[in-house]
Amino acid sequence: MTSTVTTTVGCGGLPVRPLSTATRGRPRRCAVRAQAAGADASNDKSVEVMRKFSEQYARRSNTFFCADKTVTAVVIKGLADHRDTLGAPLCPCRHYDDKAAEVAQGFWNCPCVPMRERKECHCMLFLTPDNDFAGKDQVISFEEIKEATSKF
Amino acid sequence: MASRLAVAVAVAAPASSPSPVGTVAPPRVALRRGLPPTWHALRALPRSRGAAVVCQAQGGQDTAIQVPDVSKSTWQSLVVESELPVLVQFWASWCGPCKMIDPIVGKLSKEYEGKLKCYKLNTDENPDIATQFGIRSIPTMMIFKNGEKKDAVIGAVPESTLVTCIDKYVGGR
Repeated sequence: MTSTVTTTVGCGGLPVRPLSTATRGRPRRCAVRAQAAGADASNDKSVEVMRKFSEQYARRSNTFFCADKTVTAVVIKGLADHRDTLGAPLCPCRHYDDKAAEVAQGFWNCPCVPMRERKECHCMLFLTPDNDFAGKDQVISFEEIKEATSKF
Repeated sequence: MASRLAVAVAVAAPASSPSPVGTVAPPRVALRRGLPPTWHALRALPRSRGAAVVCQAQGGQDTAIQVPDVSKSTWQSLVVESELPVLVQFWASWCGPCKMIDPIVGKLSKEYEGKLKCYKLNTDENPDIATQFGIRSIPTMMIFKNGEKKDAVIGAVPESTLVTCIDKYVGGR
């Protein structure tokens, strides 16, 4: 249990319950809470990784986030979830018969081949300036993503 | 060149999926058409996004409409055996454009009440149905009539594009 809590503490600047709280209650409850906190922290880390990637890639490709940043936030969350569960940011806006096989092939790992070759992003994460839905931002904050995705 | 690529993409799509998809609106072309009314407001007032959202909330009725779910277990009764034409929105939890199209489908379900049934199907929770109909890109909106797939619209298209497709099978609002 101590190591679990320590791991949680180690996950960057995330708020962590004091040890005195952790020692209260039955071990199972603590273990469950610690595990949940660990999973949340891990996903938060993936969200942050994908957020930074998205900002960097938008700048590099001269593309812009959607005028409705909720779209951007949701896609980034989807990429983070796939990164967590599959090991790679598989495009969240497609249906796959075998996700693991698709990850291995890499065609739809973000940035997908259509995006890399033709700047076509059907997720509307990276939009060329001429796109009707394109906004003017190439930045999105972690807080913005958490707020937008918490309601779904 | 662009048009050739578009054609190539359209041709390639059937090859990758066992069951052919009906008429497909290419996302790139569709996305260049006019924005649905809601998003015009958002673009017109980029800095007042909060205000725009508040206005939406006050307008309330449209955005409050929830499109009911259809699943593998209810597919036969709700879609195949429906007496009315059916629109099914194929979606996934973290698909951004799905969040954009959902209120539009909700709005249309109200406007076409009595003439069209609208449902949404989560592809992660009902992979068999999604695979059966060759769903690849999400969101995809499919029109069924007399239990048969008649048409499909791919991507978060403007409302007008959806209306054009629906009216072919429903005959107007």
